[in-house]
Amino acid sequence: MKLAVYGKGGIGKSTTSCNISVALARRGKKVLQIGCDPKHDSTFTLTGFLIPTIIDTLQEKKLPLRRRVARRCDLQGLRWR
Amino acid sequence: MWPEDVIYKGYGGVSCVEAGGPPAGAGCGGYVVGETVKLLKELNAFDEYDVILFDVLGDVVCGGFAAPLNYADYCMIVTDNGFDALFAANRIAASVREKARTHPLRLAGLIGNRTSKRDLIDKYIESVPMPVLEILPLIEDIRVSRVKGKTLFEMAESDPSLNYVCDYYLNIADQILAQPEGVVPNDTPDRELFSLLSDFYLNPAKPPVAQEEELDLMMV
Repeated sequence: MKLAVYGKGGIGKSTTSCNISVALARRGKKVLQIGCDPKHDSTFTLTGFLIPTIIDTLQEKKLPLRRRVARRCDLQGLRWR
Repeated sequence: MWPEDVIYKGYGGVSCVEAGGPPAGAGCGGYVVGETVKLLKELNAFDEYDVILFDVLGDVVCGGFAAPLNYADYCMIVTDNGFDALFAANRIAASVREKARTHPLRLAGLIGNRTSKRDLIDKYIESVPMPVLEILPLIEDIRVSRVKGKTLFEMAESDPSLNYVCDYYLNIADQILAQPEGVVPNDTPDRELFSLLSDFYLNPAKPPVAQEEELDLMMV
């Protein structure tokens, strides 16, 4: 099941999301929370620190974020070519 | 790149990933969201989980930030009892309606946050009917939890008096797990809703005239 949480800025979306994620986990579900905000602080309440973003990781590995690169992603091996 | 490179374990066993974005003031954040969500899907990260929760910036400002709606079963809108948040909620509702044409997406409902009152929320859902999943009161501990980097569940471990706050979130989780029908919201044009909501402030309903109660007192 996939859920998308939206709302005006500063309304408490991330705090609400983090607590709902834990509530779902308490109900025995395996949960992934995806922060879709350039401020990258969505999951801070869950981890206690600002985790490196996908963009940070791609830059560190010198991988461009381009559609053509994504197409070259090896789906079986989960590895970039 | 491996899923483990970008997915971190958070409290309660919840896995966490941040899309990130271009440096502030440069590039296009919406593009990054659209592409990173696609990337996670191609890394097969989606198949590993029972529930995936996208926490998306602000309003649906462009197609990129609306991208999670292409994958979602349910949208939930966080709002308070104020004009701006509900006006923004209506824009999000409009995006859900648009996406629902081509995707199996439903609006699960509103989550009222930081408000003891819900009169304006009620006014809004009279005009655009949708469920209200929960109304969370203004609780200082929720605000504190945000800056502490701890969920209410973690804080409740050392302070059981906070368990009642966790129950609000468990209630939302239970409703979602029951796979509610939800709604595809109706179409209330921006300008019409703007007047409806602003009218609430400009012409508040007069409180019922207090009736003079006959005092049944006896002076001794």
